[in-house]
Amino acid sequence: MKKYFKVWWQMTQNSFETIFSTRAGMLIFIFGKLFRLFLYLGFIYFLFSGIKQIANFSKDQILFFLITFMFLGSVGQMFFRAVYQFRSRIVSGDFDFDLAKPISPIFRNLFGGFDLLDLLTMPVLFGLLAKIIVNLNFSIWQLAVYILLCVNSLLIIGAIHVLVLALGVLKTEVDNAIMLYRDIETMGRFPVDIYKTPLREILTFVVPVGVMFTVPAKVLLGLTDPLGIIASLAVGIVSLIISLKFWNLAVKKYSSASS
Amino acid sequence: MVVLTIYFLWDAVFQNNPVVAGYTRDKILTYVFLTLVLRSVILGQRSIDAAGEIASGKLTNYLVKPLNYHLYWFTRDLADKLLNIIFVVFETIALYFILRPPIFLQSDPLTLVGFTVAVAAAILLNFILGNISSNFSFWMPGNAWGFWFLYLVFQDFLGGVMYPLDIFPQTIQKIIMLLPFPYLLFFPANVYLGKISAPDYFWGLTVVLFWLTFCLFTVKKIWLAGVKDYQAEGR
Repeated sequence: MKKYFKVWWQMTQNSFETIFSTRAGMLIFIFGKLFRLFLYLGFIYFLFSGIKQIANFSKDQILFFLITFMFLGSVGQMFFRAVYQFRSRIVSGDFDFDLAKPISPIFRNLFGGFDLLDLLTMPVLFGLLAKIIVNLNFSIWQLAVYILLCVNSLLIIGAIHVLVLALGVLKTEVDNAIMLYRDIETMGRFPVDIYKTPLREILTFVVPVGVMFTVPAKVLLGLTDPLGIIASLAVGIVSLIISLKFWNLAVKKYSSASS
Repeated sequence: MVVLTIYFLWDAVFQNNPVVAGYTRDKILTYVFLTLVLRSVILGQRSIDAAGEIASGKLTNYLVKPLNYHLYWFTRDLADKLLNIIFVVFETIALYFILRPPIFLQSDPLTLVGFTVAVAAAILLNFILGNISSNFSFWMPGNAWGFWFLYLVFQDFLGGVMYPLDIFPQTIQKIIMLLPFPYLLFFPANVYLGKISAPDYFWGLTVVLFWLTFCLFTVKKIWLAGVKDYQAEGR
């Protein structure tokens, strides 16, 4: 564990140095991300000036869903950014070096590119999330389960990124797969209750966007039963097991043809 | 997928509200579908790759050839839009049969002519704004994507992709309408929906014309200065 943390810290420092080498770009990205967040909030604020509820959710509740989504999405991107560079490592044959090292290749390609830009915008997102949460009525248990389900969401996000890596090993296809995931992920920006059947069920049981973003927020709002919580945790564990099995299968079939 | 989120969000908004920000359910859902089509026609572009070519030094290959680099990318953009239209036709038909949205069909020929002019102006404006973003690569080769990211954020949020800009109060709307971004999607879509009066339409075209002239002048200046400083790094 200590060895892995040491390697992660070294890779993170390298990633920071790369980003610091283009400071102007860093500022542009941070401005863009904050501007986007600001306009999202403005949109919700002004939308609710003319209406009272959306799918039976109040303004504060919709904002809570949105910020939970943005927070978890940003944490996922912050930790798993290396996946976006995986295709070039496969195509160039650099992935072979990962296999030869005494460290899990999945670790290198999942956590090897910590994104400083997401880290820098994190305090704003976290502050907004905290500000909304303190205005809600909930018990300490609800808060504990909310945090647990947020961790569960990150587990699912990680599992999906592992699936993308495995697909990259098998088919050298990463970019479109990750963009497809990002596209589907955006459907969790608002509670899945706004979607109609069968899309709502697909987003809950097939592509677990609802489990990742809607269920944790609903727990804190007191809108989920214990069965929903257990099912969410089960989805997290099962998706992680499936993704690791798929990864092992992919690595076994890896032919290193490009190197 | 984004279109599904926007569609169902608005569908949910109109469950208990017949009119929001001056839109009825029919008109807002038409707006969502219309922006889906317009995005591929107006905003779809390959010239985003020009930034990478400048940064990597590949631009040199074009500078020694007897062709206009901007027109080259503009024709590639047009070809890309054609391809996008083919895909979006299937996408729209599929979504129409799945969602069965109430669609508002514009039948006034004059409005349709005005809409076509607005779309043509938007295509030009989008190309030039994108071109300006790419040209920053001359001085900041590592940050080309940063400028594009910013431009895409402006497109999405100030262009009317994520929501119609009527949602904002009048004062904010008036300020946003002085920027070039609303004329990329929001303006053409509202012309189609018949929400723009004749004086507002001509005022809108005047603003577009101003931005086109200003951006053309700017891109020319930036390009000339950029080519002067260009050192074909990476080649």
